[in-house]
Amino acid sequence: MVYEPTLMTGALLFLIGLAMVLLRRELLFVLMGIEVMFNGAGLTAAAAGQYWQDSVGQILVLFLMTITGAELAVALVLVYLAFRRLKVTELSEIRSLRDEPTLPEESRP
Amino acid sequence: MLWNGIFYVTSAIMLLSALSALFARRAMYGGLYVITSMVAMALLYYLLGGPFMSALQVSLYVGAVLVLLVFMMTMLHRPKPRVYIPRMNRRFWWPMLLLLVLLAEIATLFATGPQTALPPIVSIGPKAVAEQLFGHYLLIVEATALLLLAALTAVLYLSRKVEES
Repeated sequence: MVYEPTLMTGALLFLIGLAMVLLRRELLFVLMGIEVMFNGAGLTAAAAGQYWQDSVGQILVLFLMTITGAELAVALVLVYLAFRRLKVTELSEIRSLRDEPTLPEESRP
Repeated sequence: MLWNGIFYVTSAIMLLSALSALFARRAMYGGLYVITSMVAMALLYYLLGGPFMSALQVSLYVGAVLVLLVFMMTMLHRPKPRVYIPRMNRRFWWPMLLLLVLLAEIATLFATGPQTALPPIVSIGPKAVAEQLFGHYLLIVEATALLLLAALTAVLYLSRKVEES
């Protein structure tokens, strides 16, 4: 077995996940991109564990999976809240905290 | 060698399905592609000598995380789902440029690096993982359990606020 293809696959998977986060507008696709990025990192950890023939790589992947689960549960509830309260499913539509460039007339000092 | 063949085919399936998820039009199709990618990932874990991780990948990612995502897709139903059109404007090209630079860096790194041959794959079973997990890493296991409890509490609290409003 050669070491590089595994690491390269992990890096490419991370890159595809990053592209999903950066290029897609839907909140669900952004979350899926984060999952894909975690998978790429996990593959790298597994390859490193096999390189040293130690179980530490698997333990790292285990913690990665658990923390992904915790993160995704909270993030999904936030997406659901954004849908319920603001009726939006896309990133570009969430702009409640944005500074509006033009203020209404009566609020200007 | 059979191992190499299976490894490369599985890697190709995983990367291609992740790439298809990037260009999927509907969220459900994207979720299906991500599931395919994760099942291929489980096979890769098995090929890398981690049968325990492989089982956990199927049960945790495919069984829990993606089911949660699919469940959320059914709740976030819009009457007219917008079809994804990649617009060639500034918002598309600047991240694309950064991604291409990163891709070039990865290609350079792996093209110039030394090819290290690994010793043959050794299967590291659940027993070795559990001995480390509940011996040396016991404190982190407890901390992770606490984190999961905190996430559970946060989800319960946030969803209750939804019911009240």
